[in-house]
Amino acid sequence: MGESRAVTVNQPTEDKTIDITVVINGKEQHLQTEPTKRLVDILRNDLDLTGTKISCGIGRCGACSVMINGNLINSCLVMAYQVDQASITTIEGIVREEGLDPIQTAFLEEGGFQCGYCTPGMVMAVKSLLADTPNPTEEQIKTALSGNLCRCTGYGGIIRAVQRVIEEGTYL
Amino acid sequence: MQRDQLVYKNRNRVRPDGKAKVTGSLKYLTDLSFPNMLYGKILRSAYPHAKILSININDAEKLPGVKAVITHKDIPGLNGFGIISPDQPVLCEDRVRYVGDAIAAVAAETIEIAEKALQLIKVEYEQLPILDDPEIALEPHAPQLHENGNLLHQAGYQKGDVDEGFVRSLVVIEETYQVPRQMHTYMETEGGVIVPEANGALSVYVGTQHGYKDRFQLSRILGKPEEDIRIISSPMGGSFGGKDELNIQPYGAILALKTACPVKIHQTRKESVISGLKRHPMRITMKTGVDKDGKILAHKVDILADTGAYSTLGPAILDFAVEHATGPYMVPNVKTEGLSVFTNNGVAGEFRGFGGNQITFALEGQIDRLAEKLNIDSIELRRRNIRKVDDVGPLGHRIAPTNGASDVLEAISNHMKIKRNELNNLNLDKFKVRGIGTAITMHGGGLGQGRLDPAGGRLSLNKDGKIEIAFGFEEAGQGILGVIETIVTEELGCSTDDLSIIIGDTALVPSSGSTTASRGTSMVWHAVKRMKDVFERKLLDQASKHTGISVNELQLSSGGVSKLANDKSFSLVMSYLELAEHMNKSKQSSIVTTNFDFPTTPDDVDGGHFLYTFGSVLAQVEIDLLTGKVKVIDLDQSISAGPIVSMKGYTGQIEGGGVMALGYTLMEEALMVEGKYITENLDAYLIPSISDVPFAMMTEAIESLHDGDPYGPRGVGEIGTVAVAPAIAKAIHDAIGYWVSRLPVSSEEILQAASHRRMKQWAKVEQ
Amino acid sequence: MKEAWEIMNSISSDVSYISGGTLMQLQREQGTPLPENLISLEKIESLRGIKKVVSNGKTMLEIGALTTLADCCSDPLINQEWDLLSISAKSVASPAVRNRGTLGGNVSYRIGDTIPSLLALDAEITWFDGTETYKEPLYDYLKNPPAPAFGNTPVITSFLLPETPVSTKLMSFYQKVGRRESFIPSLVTASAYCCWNSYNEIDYIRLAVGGGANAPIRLKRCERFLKGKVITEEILALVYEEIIDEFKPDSDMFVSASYRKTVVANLIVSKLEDNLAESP
Repeated sequence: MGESRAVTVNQPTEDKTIDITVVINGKEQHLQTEPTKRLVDILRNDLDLTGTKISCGIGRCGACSVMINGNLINSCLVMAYQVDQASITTIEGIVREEGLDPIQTAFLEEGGFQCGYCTPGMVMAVKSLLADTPNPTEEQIKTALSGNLCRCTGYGGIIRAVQRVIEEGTYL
Repeated sequence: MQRDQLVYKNRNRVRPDGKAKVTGSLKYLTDLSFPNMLYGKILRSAYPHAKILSININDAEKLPGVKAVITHKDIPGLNGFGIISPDQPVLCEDRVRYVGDAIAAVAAETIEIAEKALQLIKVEYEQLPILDDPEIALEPHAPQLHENGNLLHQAGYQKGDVDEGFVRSLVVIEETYQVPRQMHTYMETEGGVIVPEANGALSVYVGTQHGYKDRFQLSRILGKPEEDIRIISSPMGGSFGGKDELNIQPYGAILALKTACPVKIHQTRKESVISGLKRHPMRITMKTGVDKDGKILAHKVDILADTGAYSTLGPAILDFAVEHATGPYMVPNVKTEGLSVFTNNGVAGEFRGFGGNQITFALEGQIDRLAEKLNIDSIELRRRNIRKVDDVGPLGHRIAPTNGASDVLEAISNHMKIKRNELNNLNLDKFKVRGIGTAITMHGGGLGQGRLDPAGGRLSLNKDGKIEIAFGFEEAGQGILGVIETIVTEELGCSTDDLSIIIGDTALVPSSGSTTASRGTSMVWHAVKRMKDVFERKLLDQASKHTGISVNELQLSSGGVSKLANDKSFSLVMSYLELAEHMNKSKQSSIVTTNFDFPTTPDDVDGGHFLYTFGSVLAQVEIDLLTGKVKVIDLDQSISAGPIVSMKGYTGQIEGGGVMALGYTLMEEALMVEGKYITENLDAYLIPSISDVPFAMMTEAIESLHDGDPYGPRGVGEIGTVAVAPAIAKAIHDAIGYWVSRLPVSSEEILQAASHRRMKQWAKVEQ
Repeated sequence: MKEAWEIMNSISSDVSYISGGTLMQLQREQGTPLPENLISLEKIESLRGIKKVVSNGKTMLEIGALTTLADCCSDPLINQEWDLLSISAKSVASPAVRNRGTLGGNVSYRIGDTIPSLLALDAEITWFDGTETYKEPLYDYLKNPPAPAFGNTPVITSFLLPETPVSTKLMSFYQKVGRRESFIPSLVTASAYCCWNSYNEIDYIRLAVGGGANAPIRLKRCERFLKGKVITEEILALVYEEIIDEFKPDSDMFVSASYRKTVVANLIVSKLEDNLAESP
């Protein structure tokens, strides 16, 4: 955040595009894009990173959750110009070299998903929670996941998955 | 009770599609893209009811980047769809009947261009009076929405003489229950890609719950033979009944054929809300009479369902509600009448529970009110009326013998004692009160008597040496893949690595009927049972021929065919790949197929079911006396549905179904005013978040079936949603002494009711 | 800031300032197209951050308008002394949205759910009109929004929270009621800050309420009524009526005005009741 100034953003009325540089899952990418294009569309349509899902488009379901500079963000609420120079982690970026992230393993083994459409966003939200709070209370779990809707599980399997990761202490 | 009860050893296994889901690598059909793909958008009606005077697409067609604009003129075949009666226009020509009616569709290079093109389509309307309530639609001079008027369907059931029953009754309760329009809210909205293939064929990558039915419907619309249409319908990001009917497929198909390019349509949430199916809002009036011992003598039921603008499965849903109007109780005198009525509201159709949820809320509400009046414990009142093992079903028809009703009632009765004791020892904030309630239900599986309900499957050893099991089912999240894997590996003795499961693609699978009505698990089990012996025999015969070992000493096992040694150990004699190569060479077919119908009642009772599942629910609520808010503290269920095939799948269905019903009870309503949606996205249409659910829920499975029951595991896709609302309503009454009869429960109503019982002078209700 | 203003003036029409942009994306999806021109304030560092400042000899907490709601939730200074703000910020949207949404954005929304807590904390607001920065109580700002200069809306630059009054007996609360437990637009919001003197009389009180599409207000008449009073059962009953009389919210599709009045009165009076004077 070097510069401290106002930026004018022009909508693509004619063929106005901007160049942005982003690090996505550790890889630097230079993109030419309309400035107001939603990040979720860049990820899904331009970069084929379809693990990030789209469901409500207004930040009310969490299916499009990604991490921007370490913070959990709804990628449907962020525009291209706003992520210039940012570092973005999507669900595709959290698999570790040795295999699944312990959160993913816990979701698998505790039945933290059914249709799976909310799962990438949910996993990102859990990751964001445990990165800050490795041993969260029930209230903290609820707060952290309150923006991620799941229609299948009733959250039972998700809660058990989070509790399992906490018990295993892999994020401590 | 069945002694040697079936227990699947592998029922705790992780489901086969899991890893791809937790890593985000699974490609849903709305994630697909193809070279030269265009984006489609659909223009929906500006009004709930209007004449279309003209449609002008000239400007839209001229917009750079637009490749095709279609209207009713572009439909090659029938301009209509609907699973039973195709009365919904694909593209309206002269009239719109609800805000989801489609008038035109566009294919363009980008979504933005397609959106802009929609704005350039000029439609002249002449507005017509809006029928936004079934009672208004039934008035004699109401405008007629369809050729045969506004009454879609009338259904009823009569037994004995209710009037005489009421005369003999000591207590009679009459109440009207109102239930809302619930949205499925599958997280993945409708969509996919339709790809034109060589020779005019079409591949349709769009989720649905019955690929073959979509193929049939599309064939009719496109005027194209079914063989030229391939439906790839799996996986889906949820459906819950909502994607069983056609949604965006016809528009994508016509646009793809017209442009000769793949066309992707993925509805936004707002588009989905406006055009998608909903659960039927119903007004149910019940009058129920009991004698002094609590024996129900008469039960009179009137159902008025708002089916919206088109029929889809409206008639079947009303039939189901009529059937389940007496639930698991034996009632001598019954008169049930139901009307399903066309209006200019959103189209109501199939939704998990299928009319059972609405009717059970009313029925269980009646039982609880009667128990209060009689001063009998409400569980005891149920016990006095409950069906026994060999009793007939609710339409007087024979059903598979089952003690499920009593089993779940007694289970929840025991659970109630524990919870009541806990609650009695709890200290609460002075402005909070708690209450506990229970409810039970029975729910029919399959489509019912007189409805085509075929199932089938195919088992083979493919050329790669995999045991290939193919079904026409779809994976919407419910876990059918896990169910197939467990049943096939356990029944055949092979391992998961030996297995190749194919579903959801009409080019590759046999017809299995629809992935609905809690029938999947049941049908897989029946199909595998039917195919297993023949398939085993075929493989072992060939293995025997090849190895010279007698068939009696061989068996299918993990990795291939094994020989049973004297010390009872096994040794692999031939891998499945070797066997496949051998059979290929000797031109021996390994394919086994089966076709059969879902078991139905032998009695000629239209719609009557044969296999029922049973559920009981305990809900504990906490009511905030300052705000009227109701919070669910416990939501525990006991289920009787035969042996568990997949533990996580089973628990997940019950917990997930329970929470979906919690939403139905406390917050969900797709609100419409004068035919227009007020709740257009997930900021206003609320589904439960993690903060709204009990942190731990109990699912108790009663796995035993009646002695000698040959029908195996039943599906549990719906049962967990059915009896939740009445349990919560009873819990609210337990807390504040007020009966809720309208869903979703209004905090305002609760606050008023609670304040009448308040101690504080300052807390009287503002008038 | 000056630069933003100049850009704003150089563009004649269809222009808006934007920071986090969460609300604008919501409106975009609802069918309101984005303005042709957006002026992003997001990178103006001077509009960000939380620090103690001395103004007119008084120590105050200055919160930049671009401070995210997430920072308002977690900041130790806010949590220590001005926790009504962190409680209210936590009630807004979800963690992911709070990472983007700003306090300035929530207030400029006019019905943002943090506003009652800021009113209860006696917050001041500063804003920039192109040439000068102005400061005034948030209460006055909301009551009489500054007239657009040169046809443009002034930019909120910061909030100032005075040190909260200290007393041996005090009560403060913020509560939001919605149709769901979390991530929900409010039906009703209420916040209060109240101190008692050694005679058990209320000597300082702020009551602020809002909810739904109702712009949050302070219940000044009720405040005046309560000031100097000892809380008795009788006073509780009177103030209950007083609140219902003073608060005039609208009904909407989900609840009636009457519900809003009743809940606000219930919430405030129940908290006051906890501080009932011992019977003589």
